[in-house]
Amino acid sequence: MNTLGHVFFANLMLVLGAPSIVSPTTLIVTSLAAVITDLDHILHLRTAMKTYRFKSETRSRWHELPGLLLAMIISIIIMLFSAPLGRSLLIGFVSHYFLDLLTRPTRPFYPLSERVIFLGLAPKNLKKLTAYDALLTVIFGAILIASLHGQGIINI
Amino acid sequence: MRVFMVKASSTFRMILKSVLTRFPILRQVDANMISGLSLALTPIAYLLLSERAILASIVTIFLVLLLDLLDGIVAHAKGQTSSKDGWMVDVTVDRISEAIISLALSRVFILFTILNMGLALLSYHYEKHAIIPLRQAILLILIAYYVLQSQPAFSFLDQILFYW
Repeated sequence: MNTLGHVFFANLMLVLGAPSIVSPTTLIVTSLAAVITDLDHILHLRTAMKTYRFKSETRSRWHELPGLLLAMIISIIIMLFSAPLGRSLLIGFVSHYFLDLLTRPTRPFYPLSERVIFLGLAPKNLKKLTAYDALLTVIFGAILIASLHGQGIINI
Repeated sequence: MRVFMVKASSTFRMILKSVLTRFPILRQVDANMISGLSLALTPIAYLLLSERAILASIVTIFLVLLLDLLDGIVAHAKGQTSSKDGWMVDVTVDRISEAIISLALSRVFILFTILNMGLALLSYHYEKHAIIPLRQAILLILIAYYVLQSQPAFSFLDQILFYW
């Protein structure tokens, strides 16, 4: 999923699932947690510019189950000091892994195993995948804006 | 115990055979796609739990588990039960699904999700499947929570589920 899609979906989970902790701070924290996992792609930008996609080989261990395990441990430790902050971090991290697993081939047990799995819910063709991502991003964005407006956080 | 296991296994095969005879389309469906559908349903369970819509969340989690079972049946039908890829898909989908559901619950469930994720990685490393059936446990607790609404145990379950 593209970066904007991750941000929209994570914030949607926060706004609809934990409305009591929604604030500018938690929205920013969730957005950061939703995109920080993708930082490992930076090392492979040059290849991605040629192939127009980040292949599953560009996903480091922090982008798979071991990474999610670490992210969840960090979140629950932060939750001991600030429950809203920890929960918004957790929502950002978990939503990222959820979307990636649904829409991309992943190597969940990397570095223990390099096997790639794909759930087949998104197209493999690059053009179709881009359109699919764009459509999902627009849907998530629209619902997020409507939800934020509905809760009086933003005025349209 | 062994006799019981053999009987249980043969009963399971019989049920499987009858399901496949009734629904031959299952042989053509991709097991991974069913796992994906099961995963795609979990945010709905998360939202319903956040809204304290207990009955609706029980139904959704039951559907998630049913789809999870169905993907096993389809994999059996296609003879993919020994495949490591299938196990990997199943375990990964289950862990992410648990993580999504636990977002709406108390820290106890988040801790169990973390534990299960660690167990999943160890299971792969040691080639022994040892994972807590957390979603099934959540489903049972939710059913108890729904049934015991006017009982003294309710406030205890409420604490466990949403506040600890």
